[in-house]
Amino acid sequence: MHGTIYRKSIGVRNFLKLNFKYWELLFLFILSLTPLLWFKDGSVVLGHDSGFRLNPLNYWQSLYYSWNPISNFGAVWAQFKGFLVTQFPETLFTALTGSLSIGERITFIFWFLVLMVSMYVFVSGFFNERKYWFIRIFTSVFYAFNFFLLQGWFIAERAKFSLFAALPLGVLIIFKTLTKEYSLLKGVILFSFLTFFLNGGGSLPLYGGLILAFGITFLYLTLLNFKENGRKEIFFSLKTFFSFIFSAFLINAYWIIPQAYLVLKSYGSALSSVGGLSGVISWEDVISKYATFANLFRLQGIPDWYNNPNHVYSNLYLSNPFLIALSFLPITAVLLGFIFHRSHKDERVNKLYFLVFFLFFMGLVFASGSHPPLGLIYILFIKYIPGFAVFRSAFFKFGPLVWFSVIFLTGYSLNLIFNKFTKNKILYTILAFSAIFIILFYHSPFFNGNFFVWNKPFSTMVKIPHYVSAMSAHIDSKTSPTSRILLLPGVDTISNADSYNWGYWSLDPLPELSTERSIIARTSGSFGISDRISKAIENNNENLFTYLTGVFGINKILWRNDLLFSSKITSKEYKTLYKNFTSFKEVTLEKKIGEWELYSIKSPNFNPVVYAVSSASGENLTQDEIIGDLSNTDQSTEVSLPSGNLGINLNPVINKKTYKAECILCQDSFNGVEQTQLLQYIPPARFLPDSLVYPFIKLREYLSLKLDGNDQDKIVDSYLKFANQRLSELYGLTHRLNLSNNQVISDAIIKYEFEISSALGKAGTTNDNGLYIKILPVLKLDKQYITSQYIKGRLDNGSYNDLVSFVAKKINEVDHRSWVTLSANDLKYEFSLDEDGNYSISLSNQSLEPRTINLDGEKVPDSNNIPMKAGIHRLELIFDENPNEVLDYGQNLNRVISLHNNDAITFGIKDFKASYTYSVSFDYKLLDGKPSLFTIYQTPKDNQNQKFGNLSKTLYVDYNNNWNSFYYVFTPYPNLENVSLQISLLGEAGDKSVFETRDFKVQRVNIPDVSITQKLSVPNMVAPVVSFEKTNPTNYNVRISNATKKFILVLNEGFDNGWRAKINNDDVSNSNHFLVNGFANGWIIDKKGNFDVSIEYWPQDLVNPSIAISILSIVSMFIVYIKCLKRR
Amino acid sequence: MPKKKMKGKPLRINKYILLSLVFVLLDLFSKLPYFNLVLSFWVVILVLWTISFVVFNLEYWTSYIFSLFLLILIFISVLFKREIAAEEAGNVIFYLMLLGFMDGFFSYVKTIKSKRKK
Repeated sequence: MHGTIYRKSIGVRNFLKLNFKYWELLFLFILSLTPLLWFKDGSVVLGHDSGFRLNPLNYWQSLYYSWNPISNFGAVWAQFKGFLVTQFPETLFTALTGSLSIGERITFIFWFLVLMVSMYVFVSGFFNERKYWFIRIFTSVFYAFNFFLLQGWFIAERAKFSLFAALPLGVLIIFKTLTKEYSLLKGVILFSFLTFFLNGGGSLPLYGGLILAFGITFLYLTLLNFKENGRKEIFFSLKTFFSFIFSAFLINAYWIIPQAYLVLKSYGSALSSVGGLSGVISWEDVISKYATFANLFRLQGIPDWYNNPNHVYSNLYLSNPFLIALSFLPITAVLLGFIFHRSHKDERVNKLYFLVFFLFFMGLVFASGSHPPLGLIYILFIKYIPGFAVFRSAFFKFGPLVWFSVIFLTGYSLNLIFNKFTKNKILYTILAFSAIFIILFYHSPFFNGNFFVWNKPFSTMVKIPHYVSAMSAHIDSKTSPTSRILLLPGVDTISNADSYNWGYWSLDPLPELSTERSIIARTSGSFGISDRISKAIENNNENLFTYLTGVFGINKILWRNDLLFSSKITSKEYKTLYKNFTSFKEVTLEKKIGEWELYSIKSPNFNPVVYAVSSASGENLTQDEIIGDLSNTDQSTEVSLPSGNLGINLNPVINKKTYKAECILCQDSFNGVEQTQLLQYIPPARFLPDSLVYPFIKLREYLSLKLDGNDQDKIVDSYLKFANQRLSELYGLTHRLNLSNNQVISDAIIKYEFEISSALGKAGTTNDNGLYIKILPVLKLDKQYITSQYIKGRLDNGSYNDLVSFVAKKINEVDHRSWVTLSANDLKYEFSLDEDGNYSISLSNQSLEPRTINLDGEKVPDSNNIPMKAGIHRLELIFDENPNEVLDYGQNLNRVISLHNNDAITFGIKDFKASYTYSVSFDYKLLDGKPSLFTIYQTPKDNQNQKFGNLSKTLYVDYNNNWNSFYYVFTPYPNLENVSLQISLLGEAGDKSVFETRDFKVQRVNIPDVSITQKLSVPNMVAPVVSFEKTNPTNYNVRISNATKKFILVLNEGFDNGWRAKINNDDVSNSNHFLVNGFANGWIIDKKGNFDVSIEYWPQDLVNPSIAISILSIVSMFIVYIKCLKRR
Repeated sequence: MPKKKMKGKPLRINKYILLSLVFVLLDLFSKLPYFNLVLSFWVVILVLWTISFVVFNLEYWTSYIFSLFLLILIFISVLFKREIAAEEAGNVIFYLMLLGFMDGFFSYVKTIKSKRKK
């Protein structure tokens, strides 16, 4: 009996010994079940940037197409092909289980396991023996349980996880191939499959860390191989490198080729959308603010952690001494490990050890982004390496390198340390398990799932109400595939997010994630349509409502009663909107399920997705202006085209031409900047005029002027920049020298005056109003700077007064020379005409008629048929003064007011309406103490405590006992029907502000849109009968019947150069493709009779060949690999 | 007659003098305008450490020991919310680690070269 038990026990032990890796993997698998703790009865992850959909299968299928019609009027979809693989697991698991909730659970477990196994495989590649179990387990656990990944788990960033997992595996494959442990063929095949399965959704910006890691690995091993075996290794590395790149390209062709087209097409515009290079660098300063080496050593520095009281766990980790101490353990272990490190008997381990250190250092440099002391390197890369700007948010792009290297080095070092201090296996095991336990304990937020609640009550872990799924199913089954659904109320006006009282919040409107129909919401790509229609409903303008919904092909309204915005506004705040549109005779209730209601719109002039028109008006306007101006056209027979735009001559098909007059500085006024921001505008100079290197500064300025050539705009920019430089030098000088030694100061003032006079001189020679508009705010800012503490009091009285009066004189001069609006009752416009002719002036969007209209200085008696020459013209609208609508609650006007800390005086607006625009103007003079703060805030009717700030501005004072003027055009937030204007003092105890105001006015402002129209002879066109079939999102088959003359064919989807019309497989000339109605596509078709037109989105043509390349590559690599295995 | 190479103590004293001179010079320069933009307290310390590292032929791990002491300083700074001090000490640790690592790595590369020669 005992013998049997003994034999069995020996057997179990042997089994354990031989199959230790199964046990290790089982341990990792058990830990990968952690996400099961997060999901509670039927909840799912949805919203924010999670990318999960209610129907993942439909979404996955839509990834095949390069155009997505769901978001507003459609959007390019070519950049998401990589997600065909990355989002395949969730699609598969949901399809197999038939439940989104279960599908997501399995998906989460899958990614958790992938992360751990990737590190496990990497470490096993070097530490394969049983005795190294601790390094394998510890690093694998740590690689999945860390805060870098946890901040991604709240939206389950599969793309990030995918590349995080690819990092160790890629390094392993490159390492083993370059050290000849793998054959080149094996390396190539494994690397290709790695990049295929773990592709990061094909999101190029996320590849930053990976490219850096793989590049360093290649260079490092090439260097070592070269040392060992000479020059031939360089050729081998090059061969390996190009084989890897080429095979990875082939296998991933299905997403690389379609995306390459898009990158080439839109890199420039994408860069401008984030503010150009300077925008990227400014953003980087924000992201990298806490990415110090001290934080990165401790695997911290995550931007959302700091100054964020809403963060669920970060504040604990930043303040608890015990947790702070624990955060030092990994880096301490790494340092100790290096001290104890001796050459390993396995040469590969030595190579690996130094390689990971290289990755560590490079990771630190790049993950710290623009943060000093080495931030300059990253900034130089951004500035001078074309395309590097895609790696903005350096912390997130290069952070994986730091985490990977620290985690590996910690595991390796701890093993060294434990072995150094004990030879006892039991003690070693205890220490090893303690280390693993500490890692799990330190990352305890992984086990409670609270992190999904990112801003109470909004969470990415939500329980979807039944009516959402039911209504989505109804929409998908009962409405036409070409339906367009307008979301009402629109998304949050402040955050632009769609959010609900049951926790959902996202910039992607929920119906976009739950239905397959086009959803019109106030997000990018909607051209402000949602707002325009909402405003028409609010004003009970039924005609405009039916007109706009008709033009844009909107035939449904989805009303949601369960909205809750982060500003605490709910659907209840939109009672007027609801009441008005439900009373329109064209609108009928189609279905009500729970809190959601679906309405049908029967617009008499509804435009289908494809239609034809026989006349068009040409608009020399911007896209936005055309949409704003649409109400001037009869859309059933006419469309608006951008004449003079896109390089197409549309004169043969347009019956009139419209120009827009621009109101100059109507909404804009300089009210000074905050005192603390002054030094950002005019930072102190590094080199002063008496410095040895100053001649180089002057040389640089001289060369800069030379480069400007004859471009007056650039020359004025340069002079203003130099003036700024002179003022900053003045600051430096006045803060360094004695006032008695003021010759250098006088020179600096003279130089400043010279630069300003030069800028004005240039503007004077061209008489270009745009140049004056550029100079004016600079002069006003300079005046504020000079009269501020930075300069005032540092100059002798004579110099100071001379300088102030010089600037004041120049401001006055510009005011008189330029054409700018100085009062809401006297609006100044400017417009430019292409040719001589007779024009009409029309005003729209106005609530008051102007008393007088002056054109080029002369009164206009009749606004029709005015002969005008080509060129620039100036228009002036003079109105009777509107009544002052200020409410003086505390009798504070026209008296001296003394405020102490936290005191405030409040004004109101008579009969305030959030749909109006107001001007607020007053003069003020500070008599004593500190400048006060002027604030405008609004509140909802039902909740006076919920304040929404519209403006908060410290009242700029020039400290010369002069009256200062304040002027602000105030556009209220919609639906907040109460307003307060407040002057307050927010300072420290003992502070005071004594001031006086005069001429305090709040007036309704009326800034009409002014159009100048020229009538042209009517072109000869007739619209034929059009029928069409949508075969897929990128293809429409159109049947044209009885075409007798030429006509304009319109595709009512968002304009994109990728759309093409073909007649009998021949392209309609691309130069005939133009923007219609400010958003859609149009072609002039000059063919008679009955015929078919095929409208296609041509980037889709790239998809099938690309997929074929990928499939062929996979199959061929698979066959080769099997053959190799068999041969072995 | 060939000169005998100086060994031991006298040379050590010269090194100390050299180090002191460098310190004095750097300290003077750090007070001059424009130079003070570059030469902060920590930069002076790092320059001195680097020179010491070369002159005294220090072992690579000495940088790591120094780093460990600075880690304690960071810990204390973080505890007392002295983020700037922690950040500066972190920068120094980065430099010291890099210095020690480069020394260790180059020693390792030398061993590879010698293997090839064998």
